[in-house]
Amino acid sequence: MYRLLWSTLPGNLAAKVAQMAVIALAALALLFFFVFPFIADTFLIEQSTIE
Amino acid sequence: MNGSVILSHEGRRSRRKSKRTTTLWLVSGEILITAGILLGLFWVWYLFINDSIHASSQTQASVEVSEAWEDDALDGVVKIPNPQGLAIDPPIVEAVEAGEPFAILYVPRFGPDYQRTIAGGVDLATVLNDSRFGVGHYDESSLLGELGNFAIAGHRTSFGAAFADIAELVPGDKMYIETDAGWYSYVFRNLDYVLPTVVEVLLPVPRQPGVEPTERLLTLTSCHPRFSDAERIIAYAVYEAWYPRGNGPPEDIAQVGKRTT
Repeated sequence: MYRLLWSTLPGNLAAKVAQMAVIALAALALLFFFVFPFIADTFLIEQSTIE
Repeated sequence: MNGSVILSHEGRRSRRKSKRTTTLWLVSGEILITAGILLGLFWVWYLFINDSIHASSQTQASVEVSEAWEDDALDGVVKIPNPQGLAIDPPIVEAVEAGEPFAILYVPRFGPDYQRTIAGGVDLATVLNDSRFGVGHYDESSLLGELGNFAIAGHRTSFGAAFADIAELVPGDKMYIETDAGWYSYVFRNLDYVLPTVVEVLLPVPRQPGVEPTERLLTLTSCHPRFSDAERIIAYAVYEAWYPRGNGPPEDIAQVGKRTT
C-alpha cells in the first residue's frame, strides 16, 4: 500500500519525501477538522450526566 | 524434457502463490498499523487537542457574557465594595430554555482563570459539548437561588473538561455563580460517588425523597473515574452569601477574566 504510493510519486528521493509530508499533513488536517469531530459528535462518547 | 517443463510451470505457479501470500500479509499488516495509528491519533485529538480548544473557547465565551452583564448594569454608578457578601435569601433565577446561557460558574480550585457559562439543560450536543458552554443545568433540579438543589453537569475529560479537577475539591473551597444580578457564593461540603442511574442526587435534599429542603445546595456531577463513564462523581456545596452586582464581585474572583471593578 505505502510502497505502491511511494513508487507512484514522481521525482527523486527529496521530492518524494516532500510529497509524502504534504500528503500526511493533508490527511491529518482532514482527520482533525472533519473526520474526528464527526465521530465525536455522532457517537457522543463521554456521558457525564445522571440519567 | 516434458517433465522439466511441467516442473518449471509448477515452480512458477508456486513462486507466484508465495508472492501473493507475502503481499497479502504485507497489506494486512499495513492496514492494521494504519488503523492503530488512526485510533491513537483520534484519542490524542479527543483528549488533548479538542479538549484544549473547547476549554479555551468556553472560557472566552463566558468572559464575553460576564462583560456584557457588567456593561449593562449600573454603568457609571459608584460601586460599594462588600467583601463579605450578604447572608440573605438571594434572588431566584427563572428557568430558561434548553441551550440558553443564564449564569457563569467560578471555582478558584479549578484554576485562577476558571470560568464556564451555565446553560439550560444537559444535552450533550447543544450544551455539554458546545464550545460556548460546557456546563448545563438539570432542568428537573431546583432553580438557582431557591431552597433546594441547583444541580449542574460537566465533562471531566473532554470537550473543555469543565469539571476535570472535581476530585481535587477540598471541604471549605469556595464556588461562585454569577448572573446578571450578582454573585452567589457556595462552600464545598463533600464528594459522593454513585452509579449513573442514581437520580436521587438531584432531589431538593439529595438522596432523601420527600424531605423538604432547608438549605440551598449547588451540586456538580461528572463522570468517574477519569477516562471512563462507569460511575458519576458528585460534589455538594452549600449556599453562603449573595453579592449584588452593585457591590462588585467577591474578592476571590475579582480578577478572573481580567475584570476590573
